[in-house]
Amino acid sequence: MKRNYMFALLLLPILASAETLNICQGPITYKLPTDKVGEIPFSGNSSFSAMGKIYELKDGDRIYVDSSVISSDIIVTFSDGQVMLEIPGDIASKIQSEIDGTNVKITAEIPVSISVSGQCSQGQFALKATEPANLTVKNLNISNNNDAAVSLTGTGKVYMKIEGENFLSSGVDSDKPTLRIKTPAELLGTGKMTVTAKAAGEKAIKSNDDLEISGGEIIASVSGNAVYDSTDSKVKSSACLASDKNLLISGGTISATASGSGGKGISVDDNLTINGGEIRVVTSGGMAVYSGSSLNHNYTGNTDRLNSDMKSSPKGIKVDGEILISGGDINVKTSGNGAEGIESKTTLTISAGNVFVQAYDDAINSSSHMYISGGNVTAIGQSNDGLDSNGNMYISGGIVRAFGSRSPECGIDANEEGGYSVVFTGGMILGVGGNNSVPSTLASTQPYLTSSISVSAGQTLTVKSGDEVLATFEIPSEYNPSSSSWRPAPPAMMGPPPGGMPPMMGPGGWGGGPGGGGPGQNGGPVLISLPQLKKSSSYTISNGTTNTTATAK
Amino acid sequence: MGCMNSIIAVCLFLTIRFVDGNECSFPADGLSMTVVNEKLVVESDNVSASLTIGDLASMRFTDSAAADISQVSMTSPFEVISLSGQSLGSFKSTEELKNKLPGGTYILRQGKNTIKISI
Repeated sequence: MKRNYMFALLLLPILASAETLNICQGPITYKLPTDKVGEIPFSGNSSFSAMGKIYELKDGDRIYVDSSVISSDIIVTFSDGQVMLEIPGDIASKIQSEIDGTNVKITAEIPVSISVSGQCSQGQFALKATEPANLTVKNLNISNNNDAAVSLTGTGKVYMKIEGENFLSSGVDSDKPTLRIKTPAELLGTGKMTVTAKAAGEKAIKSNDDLEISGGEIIASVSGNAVYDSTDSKVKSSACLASDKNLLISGGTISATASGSGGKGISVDDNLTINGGEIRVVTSGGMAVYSGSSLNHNYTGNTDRLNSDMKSSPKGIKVDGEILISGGDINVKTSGNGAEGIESKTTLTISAGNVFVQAYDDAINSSSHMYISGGNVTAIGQSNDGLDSNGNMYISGGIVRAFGSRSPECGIDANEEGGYSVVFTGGMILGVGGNNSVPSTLASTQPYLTSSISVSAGQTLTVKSGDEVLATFEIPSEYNPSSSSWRPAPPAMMGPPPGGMPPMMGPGGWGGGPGGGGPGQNGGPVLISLPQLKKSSSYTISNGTTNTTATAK
Repeated sequence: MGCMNSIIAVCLFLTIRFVDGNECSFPADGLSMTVVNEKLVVESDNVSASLTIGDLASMRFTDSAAADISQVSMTSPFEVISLSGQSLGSFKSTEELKNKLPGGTYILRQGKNTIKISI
């Protein structure tokens, strides 16, 4: 016995284990390692401090020891009726947590990692971070009828990792985006997140700071119609993914569906950069126009003289700044009145990637110059232009197929009324429409062909030099000029645009005057430009049943 | 005692120091404390104690035990009460209690402190 007793005493210091001290205060459990917690001094009648945090003790608080593992993450678990938090004791003094029913807000002064999961039909997770934070949402299903389901604020960048399958939704009475982001953030991960917003004029995902998407499968949908904001005196529409600053998409899969009037798939106030990922956008709502104190959600009249604040057109991707596409796989479809596919209010540049746009209005539009130097671009404008630049259109590479409606709409349209031009220096180019812009500047060095050969969906256009096939263009099945609508051309410009004639040559500078439509320089309904063409040489264009001859210019 | 009889037992104690300098230890395994009316009700193994928070100076985890709670909290004399509420008299020490009463669970009370022990 004595020998055993001595042996046990010797082993005690070696075998004493690190257990976990759990301090439970309501829905919050602080977890402290017993081998690191050290001295825990009491103060007065109601508190003690441990690892830098003062714990004010209240009736019902429970403190116990177990063998549970302490995660380095703050763990948030939702269930209907409650939300539970586990906070590692070593960071507890730098974290503030507020819980009100099923609404939880965490304020972190230090870099933190947080995991959120569970299910709640009326709740909110909010994080305010002043340092970088890692937030993992894993199998989180959370809805909020009148506020954001998830809210990220502060100044620290939040890396929101998507794992498992997640659902975020907000109700028809909500006046906040479902996923509200007011701090720099990045969405990443390998899981899936479905975000829906039902309220009129609301956003599924809205950031008022720079936002990057580098991973995750994100499914965003909005169904609310546009609303008239009487405070700002303008019509505001719903959007699946919106950023008040810059949006960078470098990976992941994004599916955006907007069905309400004026609804946008992606809306960016600064610049949009896409260099990876897969993006699918579908908008089906009509144009919203506010007139005489009521909002028409399916306006089909002429919009040329409407105040821009009094209307909202449904668009696939709408960007107030630059659009820079250098990778990725982008597919946009719109079907409502005035619904452009991809629109930049400044310049639009495509250097790589696959871009396929089928739009009711212009498929791809830029208010200033458009640059295409690579990639595979297909633009189908059902009732307007395929490619429409309000400035110059520079095509120097890539494979470009642009389809517009009947005259005066164009497959390829630069702002010739404003003194601008298409400039071909490379690329395989096909333009099909009522007409096409042709180069009017010596800077355009790649010859082109024009033809009146008929073009139909599913055909293959072949260009030959003698017996040598120079190029083939597949006509997409989505091209259907027989169903596109004709509308009168806008009034011709009687003089230079306000502010004088902008420069015709070179990048930079703004496009002026109205874009789209208008007569070109007799480009003809079919325009083809290839690197192999030689001026004044003859070529054969075939659609599989008919052959025509054209001379390169 | 259970820790000393087991060669591979994991023995951790929560040692509490009172403002008067005395210390006592509770086995950490299964330890649970609940806050009730400015008292810390400690339950561990075969001991249950209701300690006034204002009498506590600090606590810490240790690999060895200090004194048993009954030896620290109960200065002589203290009252012993059965679980059915019957007063069993006044005792000078837990040793006296163990010598005079049969095995079982008793409540030791002195002033505002109470301890439940099994012997």
